[in-house]
Amino acid sequence: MRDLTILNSNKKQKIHHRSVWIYLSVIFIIGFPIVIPYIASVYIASVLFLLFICIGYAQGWNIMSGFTGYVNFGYSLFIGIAGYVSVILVIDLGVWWPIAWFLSGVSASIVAFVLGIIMLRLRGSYFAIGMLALLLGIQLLFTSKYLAPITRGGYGFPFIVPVSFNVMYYSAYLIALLSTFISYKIITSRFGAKLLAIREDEEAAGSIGINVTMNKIIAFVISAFFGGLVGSIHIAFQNYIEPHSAFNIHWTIVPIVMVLLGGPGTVWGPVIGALILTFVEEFLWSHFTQAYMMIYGFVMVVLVLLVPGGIIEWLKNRGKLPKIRTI
Amino acid sequence: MELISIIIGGLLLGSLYGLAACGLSFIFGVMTIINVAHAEFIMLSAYITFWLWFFLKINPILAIIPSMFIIFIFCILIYRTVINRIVGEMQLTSLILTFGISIFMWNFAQVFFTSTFRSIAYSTGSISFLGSFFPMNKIISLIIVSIIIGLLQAFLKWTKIGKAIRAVSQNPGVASISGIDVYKIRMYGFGIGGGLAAVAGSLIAIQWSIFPLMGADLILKCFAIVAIGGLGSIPGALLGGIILGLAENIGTMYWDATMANVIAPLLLILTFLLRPQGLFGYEERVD
Repeated sequence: MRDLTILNSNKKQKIHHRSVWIYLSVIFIIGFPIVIPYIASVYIASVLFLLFICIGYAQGWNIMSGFTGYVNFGYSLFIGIAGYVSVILVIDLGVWWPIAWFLSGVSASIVAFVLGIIMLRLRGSYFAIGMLALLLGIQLLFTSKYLAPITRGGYGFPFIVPVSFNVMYYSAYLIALLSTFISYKIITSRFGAKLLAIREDEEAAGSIGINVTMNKIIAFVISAFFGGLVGSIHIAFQNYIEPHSAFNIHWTIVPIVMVLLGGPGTVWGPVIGALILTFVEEFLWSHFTQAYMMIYGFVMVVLVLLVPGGIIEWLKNRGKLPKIRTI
Repeated sequence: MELISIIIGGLLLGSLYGLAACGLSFIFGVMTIINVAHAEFIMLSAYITFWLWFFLKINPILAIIPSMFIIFIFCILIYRTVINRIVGEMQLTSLILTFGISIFMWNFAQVFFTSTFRSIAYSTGSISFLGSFFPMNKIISLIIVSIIIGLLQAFLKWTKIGKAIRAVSQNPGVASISGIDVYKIRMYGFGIGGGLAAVAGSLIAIQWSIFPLMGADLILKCFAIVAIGGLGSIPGALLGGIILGLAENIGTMYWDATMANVIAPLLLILTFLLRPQGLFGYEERVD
């Protein structure tokens, strides 16, 4: 017993020593992107911007699907709805952009709340397929003539963003940091523990007094909020909105692959996944313009078969990372 | 008169939907895997039929046989390399895995077949019946669907492999104790499911225009049909297909064509919420 405590204290000291370097590098990594727009080319800044967008999407998807295990194939639903809300608020009602972005995130979470009450009664694969159906159904609804007075029909419309690229860049960066921070906060809280319990065994979680439905809905709402918030900035960056690009299933696939690659249900998994895939995609996109989406499918298959826990879990199992929830 | 022509049109469309969903339901029945890539098999087969017709001038109806064979082999390859590792695991795993296969396939198609819309001009005439006209190719499609479903039922009922497939779908454990090679039977099952998709693909190629992204719409319709008919049930899939075909035709006629496409997701979600076992299914399996 005594040996064990000595061992433990040694280990603790070692980790403490190491953590200084971790803190320093974290500060460096967080500080570095702030100066990028001033020192690097527009191209690099826009790649980083896309990276932050992807981190935001991936963290949002992870909060629902990574923590509770309810795979959401309809994530771009929130992106599309928030995109439309933000654009319409600004163009038709003249709301200030940052407020419109925030309100669009809120509207996405309201939609998620209503949908969650209905859809979260479905289990596992039923939920996944149901969300996919909802995504495609609502996309069709936005192209129809019934919503045309608001959405201008299936052709969409261009708009001019009264916000500079730098503002979008810093907003995306802030949201990427915020989503990671919230993800960390959730996983270290009782709420996060409940979500993980739901993922492991929903019946058991319910039987020990966890309000399963309520917790799932809250996770869904938070997930949708980030999806919507990031989505509205992303669509502002595109300068154009139409149902097929706003509700594009591409932005459901990308976060899924990123989270699966990094590690579902972890804090840093989505960040690592986004980091790797954004740069891989940028490289592939410039060399094989068309083929890069094939890589996503391929990576997805390989991950499910060979590394089901993602990179983080793999490193934890090999002893390279401590087995704690906060990573 | 108009109503009758709508109903017959719905039946013609529904039979094709039924066949398209049949393979999905069949694969679920045999190994409880939800194959999201099913519609991509259909798309691939449609392209095979198209290329055979385009380059070799093979009659699209005859092209069903080679495209069925190619998809069958392709499915067996996929089963042996990928699917076989996740049989018996959580359904969500299979869902994500086959979603990955599906993404790979439609992007593959987009790169190598380009996203041009293509169609086969085959038997474009029409026949008149009860005072309204029906396109010839849809009638041919209905006949072929009936033949294929008849063959499938006969195969499942009377052949040794068919009986083994039924046994595995009812209880893999007992089937394996009785000396059935479950691994092999599931492989055949996956191949046959792909083969059914291939027939549907060839029939779609002579009626609609084909393009790499056609799977997205189709898979949703297949899911809706399978949800209505009950997962794993072939008669259920056919009935579900006919219900969806009728609903869409009536919707197109009295409502509008875009909104008719909303019917499939709507039906899907409503059945999931109100009657998850399907309208007709109650622990029904391939039989």
